[in-house]
Formats: sequence, C-alpha cells, structure tokens
Amino acid sequence: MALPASDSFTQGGAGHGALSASWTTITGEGAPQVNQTADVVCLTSVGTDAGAYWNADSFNTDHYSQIDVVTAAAASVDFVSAAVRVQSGARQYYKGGCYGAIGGSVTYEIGKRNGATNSVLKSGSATINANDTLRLEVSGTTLTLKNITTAATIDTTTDVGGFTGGAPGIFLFVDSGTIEDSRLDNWVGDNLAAAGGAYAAQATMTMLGVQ
Amino acid sequence: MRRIALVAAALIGGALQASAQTSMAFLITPAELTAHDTLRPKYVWNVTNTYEAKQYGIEHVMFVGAPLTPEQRTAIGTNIDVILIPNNLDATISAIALPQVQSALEGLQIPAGWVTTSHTYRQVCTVVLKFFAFMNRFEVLHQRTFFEAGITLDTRINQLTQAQRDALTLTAQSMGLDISGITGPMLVRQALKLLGDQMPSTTVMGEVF
Repeated sequence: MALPASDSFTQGGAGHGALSASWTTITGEGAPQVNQTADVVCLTSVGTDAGAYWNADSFNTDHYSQIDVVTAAAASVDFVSAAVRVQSGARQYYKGGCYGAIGGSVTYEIGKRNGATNSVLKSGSATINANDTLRLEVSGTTLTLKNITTAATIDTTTDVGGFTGGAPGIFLFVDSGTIEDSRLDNWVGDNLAAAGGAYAAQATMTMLGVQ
Repeated sequence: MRRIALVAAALIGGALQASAQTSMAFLITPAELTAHDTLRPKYVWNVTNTYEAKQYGIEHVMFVGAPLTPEQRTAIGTNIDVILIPNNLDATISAIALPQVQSALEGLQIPAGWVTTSHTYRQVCTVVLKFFAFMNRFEVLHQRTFFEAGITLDTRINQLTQAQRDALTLTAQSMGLDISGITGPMLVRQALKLLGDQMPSTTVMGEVF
C-alpha cells in the first residue's frame, strides 16, 4: 500500500464487523469494531478499551494519525483519540483526543500508555464539534494535537525519552453507557514531512556570487 | 509575576469557578490514580483540567505546570507531599531553603546533592527534568523502576548487578548519551547527574527549563 494510509470504514451491512486485516489490535487493548450501518468505528464492549494500529504500511518515527470525532457522548467516561508510535507487541503508545460531550468545550488530552501505566501528559479545554477532524502528530519528542477542521493547534507537549518508531492508529473507550457512545471515522495516517525540505541546511543562498 | 486572566471557567467537579486571575505554577506532586486508571497530578487535576505533567519514570511523581489562582496555589502548597516551586523561577536558592530543597528532592529519589545557593530554581528544575526524562526512558525500555529493592541514590555502580548495569547502559545509549565517564565506584546519584548534564532542555506549559 502507499501512503497516506486511510480507512473510511465503509463495509456495508447492518450489524457490527471487525476492522479490516490492515489493522492490528493494540496488545493489551480490546478490538475496536465497525458499526456497519453508520460505517464508523465503535467499541466492542463497554468498559474495555479499544485500540488498533495500521499494519499495512511502514511509517517513519515521525508520523501522524487523524480521525473524525463522530461521537463522544459524556465527559470523563467517553474518549475518542488518534494514536501514534503504537508499538508492536506491547501496550505502548501515545494518544491524543477528547472526552465528551462533543459539540462545545470539552476536555482534550495528550496521553501515554506504557504497559500498566496510563498517564496524562497534557490536558486542557477546547471546542470540538461532531465530525471535527483531529490529528495527533509526533515529531522527535514533540506531540501536537490539532483540529484540522478549524485549522487550530489545540496543544503540544514533549515526552523526552519516550517511544520511537511504531505506527499510527486509533484508541477509544466508554467507561459506562453504550458501545456507540464513542465513535470515530475517516482515519488517515502518514509520515510527517521533513522540516524545511531540501533547503533546510542552507542558511543563505547565493546566486552568481551575490548574497 | 506572569498572570494569565482566564475568561473561560475552570471546572471543579462540575461547579464553575468565576473568572479568576491565575499565574503559572510549577510543582512536584505525586501522580494519582484517577478514573480509568489514569495517572494525573495529585491536587492539580481536581482544581483544573489545564496542565502539563512530566513523570519521573515509574516513580509516580510528576513535575507539573498549571495556571492556578493564588488561593489554589496556597492550598496545594500546604500538602506535605507537594514541592511548590516559588513564583520567581530565577531567584537563587537561599541558605535557609537549600536543605529543604535538597531534602524534598532526595526524598523522592531525585538527586539533589549538587544543588547550591548559587543555583536558581529554574536551574534546579532544568536538571530535575533531565532526571525525569532519563527515568522516563528507563521505564519505556524496561517496564520497571530503576530503583529496585536495594538500589538507592547512594548505591555504587559496581554494587549493581550486571543486569541492572546493562539496563542503565542501554537506557543511556538509547538516548545517545556518553557513558564513558561512569566508573564502578561512582554513586548512582553521580552517574545520573553525569548523564543528565548531557540532555537537552525541555518546556513545561511553554516555560523553558
């Protein structure tokens, strides 16, 4: 496959189905599933976190994961996020997304799961509406959460000494309610472009000897 | 002192706080397990949802930056397990405060014997955050605490088991750090300082450390 990688989760049907074979469930997490009527991703079981990463392409250590936030019904218990640097065979990744109730000011978080340890790196409030596109980028040790729909950088943080490599993915949970209380759609994952392009190393340019 | 006027409210358990004058506060506080098994900065997360936290590896201690009102700052600072950093980060540490600073950090397994009255609080925080970053990397790689039973800051490198030395070495090398200056008789605290001195600065809530 070629980058950018994407999945609109369009499966047809009227029930729930597994993600395509291009997804691998994150070690230690539950498997997300597709609501085939709405063609969106939801949970399989309330109270069981769900996460998966894209396995059909190789990514640079600096990459991004992007989702449409379809549903996050309630504060504190419903969370929808993009994930980056998801490690194969380990419960290790960064996540960036928001709690409910979307459609106004919500709590966003950039967090980190490292095995048994689940911690918040950065938290705050932002306006996120239904179907807004959120993107979590990781470059070096810097994580940036963006609202692509509003062209806003929501927040940024660093995690020196953290994860490298891995792949982009998705993560969501519902602590209480229904499996449809957290839903996402239209995932995209890609490498981040190198800063500055081909001329990044040149402080000055000369033409015909004139600076 | 920097002040950030909040037009929006900070949520406290659903109740709204009227627009309050806040300033950025920095502190070291325990990492507290909250809903959904999420570690958050104790005393901070339940007065504001706006913060940035750096964790000391698996030690469940966090260096936190958060906009707090004077009242919140005072209340949080009264907790015995909180190290509240003075507003003026660029003030030097007084002779009276020095043993308190050292004792507070050492109590959390953070090397502090190198701190003197010629250091500013910012300089101390800068080094502390480098220790945090190293332990962060250790936890990422080894999924355990560096301070296993029997290891303290005063343990000598040659008293560590081969496996413990290898884990320390692997962590340092994975961060591109030079371990050539670490010797057998060196104390763990000295080795961590040697490694930390090689690491870059970081930011917390936009403040450079």
